[in-house]
Amino acid sequence: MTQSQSPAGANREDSFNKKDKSLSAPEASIQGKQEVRAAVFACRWCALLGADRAGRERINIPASFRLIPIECAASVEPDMVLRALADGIDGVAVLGCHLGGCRHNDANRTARLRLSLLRDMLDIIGLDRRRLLLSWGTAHEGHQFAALIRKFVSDLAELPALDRRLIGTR
Amino acid sequence: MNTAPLVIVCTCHDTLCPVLPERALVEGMAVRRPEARLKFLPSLCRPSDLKSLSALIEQERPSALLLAACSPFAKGRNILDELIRGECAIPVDLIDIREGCSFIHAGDSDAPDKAVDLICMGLAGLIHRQRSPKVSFQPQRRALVVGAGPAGLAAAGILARLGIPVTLADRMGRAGGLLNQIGKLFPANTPSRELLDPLLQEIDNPMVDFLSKTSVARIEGDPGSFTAHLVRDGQESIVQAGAVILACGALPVLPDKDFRSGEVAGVISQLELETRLRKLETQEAGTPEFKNAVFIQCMAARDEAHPYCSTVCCPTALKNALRLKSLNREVNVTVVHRGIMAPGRAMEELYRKAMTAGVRFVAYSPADPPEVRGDGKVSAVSLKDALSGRDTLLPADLVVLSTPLKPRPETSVLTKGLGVHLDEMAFARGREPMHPLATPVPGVYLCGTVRWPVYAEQAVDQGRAAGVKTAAFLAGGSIGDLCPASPPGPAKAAVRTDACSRCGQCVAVCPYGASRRDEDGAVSVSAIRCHGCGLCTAVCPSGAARIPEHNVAIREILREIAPRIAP
Repeated sequence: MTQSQSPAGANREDSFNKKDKSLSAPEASIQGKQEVRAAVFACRWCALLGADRAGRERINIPASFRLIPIECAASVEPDMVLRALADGIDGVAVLGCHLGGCRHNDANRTARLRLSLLRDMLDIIGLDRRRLLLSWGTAHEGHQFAALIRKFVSDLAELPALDRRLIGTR
Repeated sequence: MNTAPLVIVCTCHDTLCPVLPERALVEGMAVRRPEARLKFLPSLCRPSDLKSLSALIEQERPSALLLAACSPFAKGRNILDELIRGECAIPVDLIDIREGCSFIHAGDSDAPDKAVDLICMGLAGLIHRQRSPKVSFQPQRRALVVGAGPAGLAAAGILARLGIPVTLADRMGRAGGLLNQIGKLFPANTPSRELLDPLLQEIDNPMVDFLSKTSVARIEGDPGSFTAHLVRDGQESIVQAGAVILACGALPVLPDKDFRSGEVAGVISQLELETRLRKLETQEAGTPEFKNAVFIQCMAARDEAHPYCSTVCCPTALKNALRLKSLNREVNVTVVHRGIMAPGRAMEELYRKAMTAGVRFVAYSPADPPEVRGDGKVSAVSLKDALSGRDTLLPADLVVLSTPLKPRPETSVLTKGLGVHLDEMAFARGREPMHPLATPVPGVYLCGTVRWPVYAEQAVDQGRAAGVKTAAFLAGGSIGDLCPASPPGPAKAAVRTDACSRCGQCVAVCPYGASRRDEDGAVSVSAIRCHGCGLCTAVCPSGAARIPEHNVAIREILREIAPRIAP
């Protein structure tokens, strides 16, 4: 039984009981086969350069992420993150400049406050905080970007798949 | 005009094929976007291919053009610029499938799927991305220069030469700033008048309105039309200016009982030594009345209260040590330091010259600061040599304390009114590192020690640079040219008044002071201050604050990524 066929209740329970190793290793690898989807918002001043360098250095990264360049990490609405998850995207990463190095007068500090709160809320509503990756200046180099994405995608592969049956009904 | 968009895939001399086979892309696009036409060109970076591209556009007449090529940081941006310069009338955009897909997903069977996704995302962005309206601005042709030190004088001088009316205000009775207290300048011992007099001549120009003993109480308004409130002898007056140059300088920290100054005689500040040296040098056969001078560096600098190196104190100490030596070779000069900061060719030479002249250098550690000994009058300085670890006693009849420059407290009033930020030390912050003299507010420039301690010549250079930047701003033009813009052009936030609930969250978070309320409580965005970061759109609960380039397009792009349910 793959996760997309499992009842929604089971999914929720799985993500709640993180310590409960109901996801054994073989099962997790089966889920890993089901394609993980991640949306990566990259600030054009910092993380976009990291992504570009990863490309130039030809570092191999799993193909399951989609990069969306944005002007500043501050422009990511919490609403947009939730909408993406509701659309069946397994995880959202927001990659911004290091704190203190924002090109927009420290706008990323405000963004961090807001998005960290959203991360906590993801736990509360039964999704997992790992579905929202926040990075402040840790994706500026090619290898940093690649490592971050690899870790993120493998984290997402471990999480139970989102119930995609409700997509399009909202 | 055809209604379908055209997608040009640059195969990069056929190096894309092993990871992204043409067939897979064609098949994928046929499922996802059957209406879009897909064409392959081998190398868009070659002029020949750009020609075939123009021919293709002519022939197909598409509604929009999407280039799927290399990263904008590789060749992509140049290709896009070329197209836009060639007056490509249709919307055009670039997505990166080389660095962003084929290079990083070699051997991954999902790579073609991803490339198709990227193309669809690009098309969604192209179709749904709106454009901010183009706004031009016509600033008032007058500049206000706050502070008539070397930086402010140089700025006012160059503006006057460029034919721009300048108001130059200084709180003191005469121009020159800190330079008036300094006799000679390092590294070449040039008399400071040699730097100052030409600057004073420059502002002796009908274009310059020099107001002495005038302080600037506050500045309000927006770039292009600032209103400054000036105060002279309790009388307030108003000056309208299109641009503002902040050259209001810094304050020297003066010793206050540090190293027993004021308690024992013979402990003075570097600034006081300047005055004494000036007197000694003008006297006939001037001989200093002291035999052993000890300079203590980094007093009140690089500590908790002033956590920075003030740049100018080490060269000043080197210069004054040499001046003492040249007055009387018998005077022993010891510089007690935490590392001599003398960068640059001229300063390095000055340091070597001081060593050759017999100036002694002893390092101390901030954990073991030197102690001034003596009753009533200074007799010695005791310290632990940081290099040898030995306790050292230096006989002294003069102790000179090198103190840093600190930000002026009044500066924060001006920067607050203008919307300029201060750094952690309370110096005014420019757009470091690429535009250090410009601030995030167009039409407001910084020069001299208001932004960081600088040498006098550098202050003059910065003043000139800020003056030229101001002149360029005052020429007017499109506001799109003022702020750093990402392609496709300057994005500016706007608030839809019909949807706005006037909660004011955008006003509270705007890092540029661009969102504001008018008297009725209605919120609007000043396009000239907005940099398009999008923070207001992220906090707006009503969806009223929007960036045309961003919000709708991002939503549609996300929709393209979402996994599709099998029918």
